[in-house]
Amino acid sequence: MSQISGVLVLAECFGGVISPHSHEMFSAGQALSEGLGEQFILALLGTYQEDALEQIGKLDPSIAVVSALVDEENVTLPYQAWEDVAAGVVEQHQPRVVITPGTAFGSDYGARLAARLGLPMTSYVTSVAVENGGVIVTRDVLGGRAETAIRCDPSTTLVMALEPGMIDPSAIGDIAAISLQDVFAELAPESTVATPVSTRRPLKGAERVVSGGRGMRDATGVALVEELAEALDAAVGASGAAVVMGLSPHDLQVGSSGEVVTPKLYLAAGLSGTPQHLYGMRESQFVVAINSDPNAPIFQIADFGIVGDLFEVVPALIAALKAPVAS
Amino acid sequence: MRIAVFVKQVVDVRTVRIDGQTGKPKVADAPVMNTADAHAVNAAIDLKEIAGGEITAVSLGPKDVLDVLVSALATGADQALHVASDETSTADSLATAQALASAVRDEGFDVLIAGHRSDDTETAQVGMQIAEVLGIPHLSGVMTVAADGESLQVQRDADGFPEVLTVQTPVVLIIKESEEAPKRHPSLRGMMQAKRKLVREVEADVPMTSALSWSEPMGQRVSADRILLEGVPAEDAAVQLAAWLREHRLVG
Repeated sequence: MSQISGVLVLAECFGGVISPHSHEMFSAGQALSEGLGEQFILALLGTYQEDALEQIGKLDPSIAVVSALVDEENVTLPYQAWEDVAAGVVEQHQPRVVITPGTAFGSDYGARLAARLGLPMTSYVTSVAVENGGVIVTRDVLGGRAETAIRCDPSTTLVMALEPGMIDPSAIGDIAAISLQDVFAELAPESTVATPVSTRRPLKGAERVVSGGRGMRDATGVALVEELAEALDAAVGASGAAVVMGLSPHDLQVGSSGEVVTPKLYLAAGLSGTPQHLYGMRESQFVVAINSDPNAPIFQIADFGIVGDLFEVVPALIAALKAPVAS
Repeated sequence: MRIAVFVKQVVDVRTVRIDGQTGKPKVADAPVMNTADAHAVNAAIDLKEIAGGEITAVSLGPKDVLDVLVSALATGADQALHVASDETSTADSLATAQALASAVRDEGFDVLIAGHRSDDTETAQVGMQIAEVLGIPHLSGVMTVAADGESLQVQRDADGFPEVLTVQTPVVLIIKESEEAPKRHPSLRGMMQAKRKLVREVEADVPMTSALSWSEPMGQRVSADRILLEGVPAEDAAVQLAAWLREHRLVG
């Protein structure tokens, strides 16, 4: 392939409706395009794209939008039509990265597309990043027990499919992303207050970080976590769920779509430890977890774990830290 | 009906233990047949029982993979094809698919059966890519197969919904993942009979390379001396944690 450049997202548009997974693809594509400093090409494959485009409304003008009709009428199996159309779009744009759908339906053509074009492919991607000017993705191996980081020869187009549900979806123009986290947010109380920025220690480079998650539930929980951070002289962090619930501002988010931190102490309260979150803190030297769910993944990597309600454990911990030490 | 079934030898992922110091996964030195491929072998035998014919088990890799080929023969495959290569660790899914496709291209198989994905690398790409390289269709999520002359009626899981499709051969069938144990296993009688079955060897004729490079897998970090307090009253747990934090000089 000659000069390759750009990030191509092959979004799904079924009868004018953009699939939920396409919002995750869009989010990953945008992150890679920004990291690489290369064009972002959003291709809407499917039918009735004009309806979807109308709903999208205004999109960042730097994004190139392409519509490609997929006519399933003349093929035996629907994925064959998708593969043919996708191959045409890839060949026309010669991108550095192609993101194909990681859904059961999309998987039927993604790997075939890569084989047809003779390109390397990686599926079930759990995070994407740009490092030293090159794309780096992670995925699980060995039955989900371990993770590997994958890089691609810079002269070759990389085809990838995302593991659904692993990358925070983003809005596409005026079409809001729908995710599990949004569902949680709807259940959260409305009157929550985010911390004023001025009082916070910066997350980046902090020696100690105290992060709260969905388990903080409301402003009382947020205040408890902040008080604990104060007692430990630690910076405050948050999980993606806490941010989406409006409990914490976005710049406190630790994880693959937030800050990556490597403190000496990482204390997670009311935070289950999604893979995205673990990505942002697993290099911490010591991890402490407080969670009411004994099966929360955060306990897998915690050096010290307490199964319990943060509303009981955190006040007790603050008291214990303030108590004079017998020497 | 000429049936091929692809089998891969993998590490036994049930034995994976993460080293608390290095974070590196350790596995028992006793490779096994890939879980999904054991289901694929069963599906091949199911199809042979209704449609007749012969099953060839196909595996790519070094001499060691003869073990999984013998296991497939002992379960009920009729013959085996070893696609020999000592360099499969540097191959990606496309090189693997090209090598397997090249080995079976002139064998005249009507149905080629693959498992959904491997336990170790988990790409779920090879079956589809074999079909692409051979220029034939595949069906994924296959649950049951009925045969009628040149065509097959395949019941598959289409993104959570069952559907029945009629397809012409040749076709690649990718068997739906299952939590259940496969109904047939290698039997002692089967193991003895396997010794009499034909095992052919061909050299893999594509380079085992990739434009991708992947890091050594790292497990989620597990501390060697981790503490987990469950069912401990909050005050007691908090006092223990505060002491632990002081001991490790983690208090500001």
